[in-house]
Amino acid sequence: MQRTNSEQLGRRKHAGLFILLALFLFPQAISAAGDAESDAVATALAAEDELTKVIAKTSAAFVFIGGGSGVVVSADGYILTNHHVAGDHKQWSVRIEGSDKVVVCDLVGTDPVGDLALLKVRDAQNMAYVEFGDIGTVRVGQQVLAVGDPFKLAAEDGPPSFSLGTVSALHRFQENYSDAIQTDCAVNPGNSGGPLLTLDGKLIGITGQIMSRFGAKANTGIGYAIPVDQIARFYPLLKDTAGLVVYHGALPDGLRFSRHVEESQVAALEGVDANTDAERAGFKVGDHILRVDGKRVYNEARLNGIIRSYPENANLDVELEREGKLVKFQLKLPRMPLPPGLTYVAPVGVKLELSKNDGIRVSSVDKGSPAEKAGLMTGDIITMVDGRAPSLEWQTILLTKRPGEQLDVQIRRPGPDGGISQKSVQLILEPRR
Amino acid sequence: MQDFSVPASPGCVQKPIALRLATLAFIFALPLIIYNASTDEFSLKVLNQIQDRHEWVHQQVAPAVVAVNCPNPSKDGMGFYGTGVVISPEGLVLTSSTVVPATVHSVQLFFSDGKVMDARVLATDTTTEACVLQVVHPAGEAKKPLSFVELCDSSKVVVGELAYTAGNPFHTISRDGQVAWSVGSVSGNYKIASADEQSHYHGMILETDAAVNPGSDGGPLIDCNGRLLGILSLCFCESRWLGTAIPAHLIKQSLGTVLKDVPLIDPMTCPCNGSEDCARCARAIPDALRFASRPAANATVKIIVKRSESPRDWGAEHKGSLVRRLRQRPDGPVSGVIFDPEGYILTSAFNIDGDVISFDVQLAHGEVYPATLLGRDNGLDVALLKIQPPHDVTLPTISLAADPELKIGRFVTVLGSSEEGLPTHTGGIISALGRLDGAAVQTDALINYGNSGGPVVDLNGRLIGIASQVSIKPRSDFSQQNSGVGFFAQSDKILISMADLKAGHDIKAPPSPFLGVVSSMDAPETRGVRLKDVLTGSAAASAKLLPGDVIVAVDGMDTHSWPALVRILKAHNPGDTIEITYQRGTVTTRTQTVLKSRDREVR
Repeated sequence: MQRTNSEQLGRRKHAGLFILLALFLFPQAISAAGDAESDAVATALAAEDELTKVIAKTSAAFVFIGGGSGVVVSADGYILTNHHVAGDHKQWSVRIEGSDKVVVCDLVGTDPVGDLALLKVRDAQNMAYVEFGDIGTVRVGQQVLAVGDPFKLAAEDGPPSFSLGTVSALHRFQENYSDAIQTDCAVNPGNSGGPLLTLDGKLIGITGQIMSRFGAKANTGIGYAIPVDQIARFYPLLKDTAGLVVYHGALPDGLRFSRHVEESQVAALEGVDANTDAERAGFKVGDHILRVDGKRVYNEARLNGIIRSYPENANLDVELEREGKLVKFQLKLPRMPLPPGLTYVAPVGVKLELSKNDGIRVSSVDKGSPAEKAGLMTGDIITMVDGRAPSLEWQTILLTKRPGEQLDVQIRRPGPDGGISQKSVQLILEPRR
Repeated sequence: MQDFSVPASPGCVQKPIALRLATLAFIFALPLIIYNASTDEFSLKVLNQIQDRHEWVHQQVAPAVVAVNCPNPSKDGMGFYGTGVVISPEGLVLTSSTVVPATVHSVQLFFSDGKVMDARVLATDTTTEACVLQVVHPAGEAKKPLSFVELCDSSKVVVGELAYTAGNPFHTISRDGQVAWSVGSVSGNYKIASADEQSHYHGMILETDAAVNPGSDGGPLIDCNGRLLGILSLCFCESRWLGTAIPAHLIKQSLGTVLKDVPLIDPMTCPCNGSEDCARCARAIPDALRFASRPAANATVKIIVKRSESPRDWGAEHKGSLVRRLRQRPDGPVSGVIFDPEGYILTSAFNIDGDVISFDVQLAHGEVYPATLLGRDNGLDVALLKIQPPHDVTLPTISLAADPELKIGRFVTVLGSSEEGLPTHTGGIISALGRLDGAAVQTDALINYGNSGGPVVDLNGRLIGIASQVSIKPRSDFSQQNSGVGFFAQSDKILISMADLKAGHDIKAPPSPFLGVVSSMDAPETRGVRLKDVLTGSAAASAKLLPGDVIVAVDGMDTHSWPALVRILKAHNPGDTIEITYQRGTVTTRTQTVLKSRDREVR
């Protein structure tokens, strides 16, 4: 007896009616094992039907990008992915599952701390996309779908992989994934940047990290996603940043937390250093921090978790207990410095790194970029940018410049003979896409 | 109607007579509404009901799950951590001796609501590695009853049924106040001798395909009603590497005096005093897979492969640590399925490679027959074996589905045979189609060395494939067992090869067509495929294509992008003549060429 699912379901529904009638007339009949079995199959087929529909609907918004994954989140072609997937190239060729095409995207903005990158498909319209879901409705135990390209199995023309799993936990603190959703969906290398979806097809996270058993470099039931509420807070900033980075908020300097094990379940202040931002913000020794932006703080990790999931300069309500009384004030978040290591400056097309001996060193130059056209080379040491001391972050300088304007960069270049030459190069900024 | 056949309410309430009558009247009055009820609404409702129930079980259980932390008495020691579960309102806590070893002096419990309590050890059982703790209520404070879970009579567990794991893996509770929750099933129920370094358990376990990770040990395996099926253990079986739990009824047996006031509840009893209906919905998917796959389970066999040398010796570099052993093929038996009453058996070709001396096939009912190898399809990674039972024996079989009707999102279960020959079920969905150049369908059902070669079955009970490619050689560095990226060979493709397999042929992986061009990714705006390179001696070279040319059509079909070109080429065989339309500058030219066989990673 081989029927299609829909036929079988239809049949079951009719049969169900009679079973139902029988149940009303003879409630004891409920124990008939055969009915329980066919009910389970009818239920499972119905769930399967719904699942295949959601998958068919959402797969069109999936994006294959580099060695990872991404998802279209607007009809005009904004794509979300991980910073570690796409944050260090200005331009990308990506394959969109829905259109079966390889299209050009530009890096719109990137978030090295929160591990997000925003790209945009050029001149796009009417693209299939997934909508942001509401984190407030997400419950532990709820089933979710992870979409991605694990191990690059899709090759050049295959579909993405779908995996069904559950929300295992919320508000996990995994350092830079400071307010992560934990899921047991099969998240593997290559899933990075892919969407975590509710079963009604809404985006609730971007998957990007796993932890595993047996030292496996593959899933053993623990994957982490950046939650959609955090994404929604950074999304407008990423759009506005013109190819540069966005910054996260941090706790003000000068807070010292109690480390006693008994108190590990509260964020209690053991000390507030004098003349620090923490003191100026209004924190005092002995404070127990209860809530930030209405979210319960149960220990120092959770406090950091909440704070780091907001952009710099966010004004958050802080509630704390001080000598038995409830105290409230607003805290403006200072900037969390970018982690040391590589920084990519997309608008000029260079990667910079902090070299121990030399200072700021160019670690790579994009082909066809303003940096290459100006003659900047890998290994150059930057000594001055636009008349200022250099840093890894060119944000403030670049935001004041317009396309076509010139950026003066002083460099030192180690020569083949061991000598060092001083040079000045002029970068001409190109129009933004 | 659907409400009744698929009861949802997390707390199932007996419907009053009046409501029954009203509903009955409604049904008689409006049968057509039910007949026409949209499938969409029905399926959405079902899905929501399943969600509600899963969430409800989590809400019931999570408050009773605790992180267990034991500082090591010796100063340089690392200490121990794991999970525990409260099993009485007075504060009895079950955990494992891998979390609270005998050497430990003090135990601290972290609850997900932030509460931290001390505990003392009441008893440890060396057989089940179970450890019973008693919460120490702070002196002078009123003893508040704690949230707890009941013990399920796990002797009545059914392989394939819904199960949850809850715990403190990687300190989720002690650091973040979050009980890590995972949904899966009881994927096996068999005896093991543990391969782990910390747990030395010998005996019956419940295997689960829900997540079990470092720190989950001591935590609960939970049934569909929110009861304790067993205590999660670090022990595992070498051919499967899946999470396991020591059954609750064995722990109760071993620790009878300490647990005398903690009853074992029959799994059929609903926690809200109604029928078992309220859990039916959440269980529906694993149950349906279990019911539907019964014929396939009867036809599933254990295959014992005797080789002249152990497969462990094949890769010397894989010897050594636990981590390295994960990648090493164990000596244990593998799985297969009888699909034909004459005794034909399918398994994975990987399972039978090496210098094999003999194959023995053990049926689900225990009979053992010697088998002969007929043929293998190395592309699909399947092999055909045959047994010759006596004439009066009717073999349990399941036929291969002629049309597996594959679709991403369909539920599947992978059946296997444990080392003891007992059935195993790991469920999941179809993740993707057309993987590994069309040789495999991808699933998130967990596939390992043990169930490799076993049947893959859908909700209609049809045999849609054979679990395969558990160790794809060129990709073995990343494609690992149980990663949720598993593969199976689809039934219709196996049927195409069947005549050759029965004739005793070895079928090589089909050669892929090879054009010999490399696309330029620098100009993706181009309509068509701009060539970056043309390989010497290739079909493209004989057609006199040059770098810079843009292929706009093959056989008159638009090649607007690289994926489009790849798809057209894949539909061909080496030796086929194709017509290529390409642009060079402003000139469009048509030319013909004969495709050659593929060299890796270039087309």
